[in-house]
Amino acid sequence: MTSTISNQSTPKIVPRRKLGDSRNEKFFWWGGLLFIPVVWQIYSFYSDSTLIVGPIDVGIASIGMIQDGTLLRAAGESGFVFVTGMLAGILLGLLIGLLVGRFRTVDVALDPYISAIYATPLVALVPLLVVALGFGFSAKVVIVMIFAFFPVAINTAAGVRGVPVDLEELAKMYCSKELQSWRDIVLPSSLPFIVTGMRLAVGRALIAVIVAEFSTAVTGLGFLILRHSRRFEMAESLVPVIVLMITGFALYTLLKRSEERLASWVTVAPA
Amino acid sequence: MAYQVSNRGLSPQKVLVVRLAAAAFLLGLWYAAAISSGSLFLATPHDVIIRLGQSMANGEFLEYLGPTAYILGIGAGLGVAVGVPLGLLIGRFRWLQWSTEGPINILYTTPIVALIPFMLVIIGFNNQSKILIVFLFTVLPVIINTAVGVRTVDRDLLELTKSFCSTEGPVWRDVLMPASLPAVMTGLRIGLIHALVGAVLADFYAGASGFGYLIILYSNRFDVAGALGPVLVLALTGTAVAALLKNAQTRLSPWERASR
Amino acid sequence: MSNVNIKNVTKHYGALSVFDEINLSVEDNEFVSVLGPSGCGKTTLLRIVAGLEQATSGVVTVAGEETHEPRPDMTLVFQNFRLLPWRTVEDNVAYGLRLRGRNKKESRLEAQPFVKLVGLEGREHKYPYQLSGGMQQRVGLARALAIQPKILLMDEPFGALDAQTRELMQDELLRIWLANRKTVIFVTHSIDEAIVLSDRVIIMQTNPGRIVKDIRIPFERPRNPSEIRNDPRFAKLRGEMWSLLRQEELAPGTIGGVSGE
Repeated sequence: MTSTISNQSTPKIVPRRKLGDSRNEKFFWWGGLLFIPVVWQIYSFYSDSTLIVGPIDVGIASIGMIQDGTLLRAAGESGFVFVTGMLAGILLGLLIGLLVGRFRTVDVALDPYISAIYATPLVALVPLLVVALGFGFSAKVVIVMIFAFFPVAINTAAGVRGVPVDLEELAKMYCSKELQSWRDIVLPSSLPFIVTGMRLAVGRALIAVIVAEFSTAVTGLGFLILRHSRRFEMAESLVPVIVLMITGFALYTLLKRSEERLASWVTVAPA
Repeated sequence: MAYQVSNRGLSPQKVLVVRLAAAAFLLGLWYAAAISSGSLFLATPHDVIIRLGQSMANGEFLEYLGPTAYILGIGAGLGVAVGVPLGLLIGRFRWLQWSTEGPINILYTTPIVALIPFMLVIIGFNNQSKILIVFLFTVLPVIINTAVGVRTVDRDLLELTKSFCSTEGPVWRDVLMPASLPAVMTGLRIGLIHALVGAVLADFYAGASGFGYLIILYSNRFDVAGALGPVLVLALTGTAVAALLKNAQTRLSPWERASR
Repeated sequence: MSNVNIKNVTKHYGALSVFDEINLSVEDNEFVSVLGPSGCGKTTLLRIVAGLEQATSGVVTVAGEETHEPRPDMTLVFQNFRLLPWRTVEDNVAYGLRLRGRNKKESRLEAQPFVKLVGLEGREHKYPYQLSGGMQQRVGLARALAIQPKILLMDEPFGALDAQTRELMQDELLRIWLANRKTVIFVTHSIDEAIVLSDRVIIMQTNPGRIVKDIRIPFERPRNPSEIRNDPRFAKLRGEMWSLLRQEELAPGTIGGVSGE
């Protein structure tokens, strides 16, 4: 029996709509969202410590950092590492995932290891990887790639494995060749799972970028955070965090929406 | 079970053979890579095992494991103790769900790592920071999965309780808690795996103790074999946690599997 | 007292009208079926009586009291069983009893005769996923009976069962009802079922949702379903009901002469 930790998608809390609720819902949603910055700002106002900064301070600091170009440059550096590593990890993950999902032998052979590694805190490998690969661009990309690989591989495999048997039989009845089956049935029905894998990979890759940048401490948003916090410039150190927050949330929402739209027209048949 | 057309349904014996073959193959690959790249890049498997054994024998292992286990226990424990009740409430009461949805989703999609330097400056390089880090890593997936579990309880069953004039308390006892149990277990599983990540990161950055720190020590000395030992232990821990919880989930909710 | 009075009950969902001004009276311990095609609102009507949905206007009176919510002396048997998957048969039957304050042990004891009544003796410790559809519905029925309601509402309870099990369950229901008479409102879209089981059959139609006829069933109790099915009056009743139900499938006026009343 294949054991996987494939469906580790921690879902976004999606509200259920009822008539007349949307006004209430908007009120609570915005209230909840704004509550934290407001409380935070009030707390920082009353606090003696210069270390406690409020959202307004962070906002002001961000303007400075944008103007002198440091923020954009760091974002670009991190972004480049992120995108390259993600692409590499996704491609490799897709390849292995497709093979594992389609061929039972490969599945049986590799799945326990892939699942085991997925449950491992990969961050533990980062110091070694930095030592082995150096402090440069390629080291960071490799790290991001490894982090992105596993969720994509596992979820792709789950998607391919979960192709409804009914559809496979259909393809057989029409004497479909292997590649045609891939085009008509396997890939479309696995698509939602693949997107899920990508969404999870985004989360992990963001962590990877930051950890890699903390460990190499040369370029990128991670480096900015380190530098400013070491100088006790707290407002400046939070600016990259906000950038990461926005990026993470945006990517997640984008992928989650695609996932939901894909899932709605691809019926996954019950077992 | 419908007859499956693709290459599925290998016999248990064949599964065992394939797995052993794969293990041997991967091990062989590891050896080959280690030997060809030199000890700077990769250590051979037996080196790692030997070093691990030594580390356990001379007490170093426990010396560093202790603090990590401590922060894990407290941080993850708090994460679950706070996350489950909060998740239950968020799942049950729509207004609570609406107000917490934004902050929780934003926090969940942000790499918490990025907040660590800030936390360290404010709170300091001590156990409290580490516990907070582990807590944050654990609590979010627990809350989210628990809330979803409560929210997706079969509405037909909730209507059933209404038709029997049930009050709120019995609704929790009879329907909400048992029905959301699988989701809570999933949340626990994901939360604990995240907790491990948090613990390692906490050890990296928030103070010179614990398993993560041991890894850094060995890595800085270019001692690959030494560093891979703790990594291996962490891998086994993660796998064990995942497997145990998955098993527990199946055992506690036998009807779930049957209905799939 | 266990009568049900539905007076001028109307149900709209926004602009969509399900039915307007339905009037129906059910006497103490009468077994009444509501028969109609899909979409006529029979289930909605039942759910309004049950208190699970609210009427847009009109009044439902149960046992002399105006009723808007579920009542302890009335219960609903659902088509999709709705058993608690994590409870055994006996604990499912005991569900309503536990709500009334009994502890586990007491509730199981009290539930036992009802488990027996529906013929599930020996299966008390099974879980729903281990039971067939027919058995699950028996549990549902036992659960409803265990709280000894005065009024039993049944929403196409045998609709999810295969034909043979369905007939078996009809026999069971007749036997049980004979021994413990209650007021029953039974929603179905099976003509045979309605005739076999009830004292009266209320025929509803759709577009608009309304009651078209209230037919008294002449067969004496105790009833023998197989005898009844061979009785000539059965065929006549069946034919009458069938044509009443069928009329809306042809648009009025398309078949010369045959339309409406």
